[in-house]
Amino acid sequence: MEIMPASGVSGGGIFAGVGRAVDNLVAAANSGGGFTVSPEGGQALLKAIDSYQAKLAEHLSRAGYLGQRLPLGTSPAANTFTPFLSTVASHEVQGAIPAMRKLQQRLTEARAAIQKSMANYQQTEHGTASTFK
Amino acid sequence: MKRLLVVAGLVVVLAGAVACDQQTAGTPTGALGTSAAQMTGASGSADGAPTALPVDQPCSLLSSADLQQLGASTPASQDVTGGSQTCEVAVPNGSVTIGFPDYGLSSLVVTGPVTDLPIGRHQAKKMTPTADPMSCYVAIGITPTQRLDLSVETYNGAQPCPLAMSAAQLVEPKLPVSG
Repeated sequence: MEIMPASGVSGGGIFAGVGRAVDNLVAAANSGGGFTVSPEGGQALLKAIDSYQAKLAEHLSRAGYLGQRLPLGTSPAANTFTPFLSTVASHEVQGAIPAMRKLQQRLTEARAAIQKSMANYQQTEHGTASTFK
Repeated sequence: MKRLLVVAGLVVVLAGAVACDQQTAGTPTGALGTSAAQMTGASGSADGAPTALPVDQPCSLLSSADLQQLGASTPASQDVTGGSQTCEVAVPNGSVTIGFPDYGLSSLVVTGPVTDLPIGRHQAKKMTPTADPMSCYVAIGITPTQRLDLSVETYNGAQPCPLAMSAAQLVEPKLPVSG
C-alpha cells in the first residue's frame, strides 16, 4: 500500500519532520481498512506519543505563564525558549508556539488513528473482514 | 513492509525528539530572565508582599493528596519560567503551570475573554486565550501587587478550564487573605 504525504504538513520549521511522519500515519490509517498496527507496535507508538504530548503541553502551559510574566512581546519568550530550541535559527523561534500547538493537534489525530488501526488488527486476527469491504 | 517502516520510523523520530528535548529542557537561562527577576524583586519581600507567600516554592501549595485528586501520576516538579519559580504538574491529557508572576490581578494581560469570579476567599480572573482553545488561565488575586497564576494546557480533547479551576480550588485555601 502506497503511503502518500497528506496535503497538510504540521507546524513548520523544526517540527516539519515529525509533522510529516504524523500526517503520513493519519492518512494511512484513514485510507480504508488496509492499515493495521499490532498491539505491541501500537502500544509502543502510543507510549511515544503520550510522552511527546505531555512534554509539548508542559511547554505550552509554561508559555502561557511566560506571556504574563514577561509581557513585552515574543522576543523575551524567544530568549527563554532558546535552550529548548538551541539548534534552530532565531527567526524560527517566533513560530515555535503555534507550531507546537499544531503538532499537539496532529498527535491527537495520530493517537486516534493508531487506536483505530489496533482495532482493525483485532478484527483481522479474529477473522471478521467487515472493515475490508 | 512499507507500513512497518512508516510505523518504525515514527517511533524513532518521536523517541529521538523526546530524548533531545530531555537533554535541553530545564532552567531557561539568559540575560533577560535574570534582569526580569532583578527588576521585579522575585523574592517577594522587596515590595512588602506578605512573607507567607511561597513565591520561591510554588510546589508547596500542592499536597500529595491534591496531586492525587488532580490525577497526577508523577510528582510535581519545580522549574524556572521567565525568571520566576513555577510548579509543573502533569495530569492525564493536561499540564498545569503554577507561579507567582509578581503582578497584581489588575495587570493581567488580556488575550481572550475574561470572567471575574470568587474562588474561596479570594477574587480571581479566569481567561480563555483566543489563540489557544486548549488553554485556560486562572489568576487569583492576593494583594494589589501579588497574585497566583495557573496556566493550563490540555490535549486529546480534554477541557482546560475545568482542570484550571480544580487546581485553583485546591491551592486557594493555602493563600493568605489580605485586609
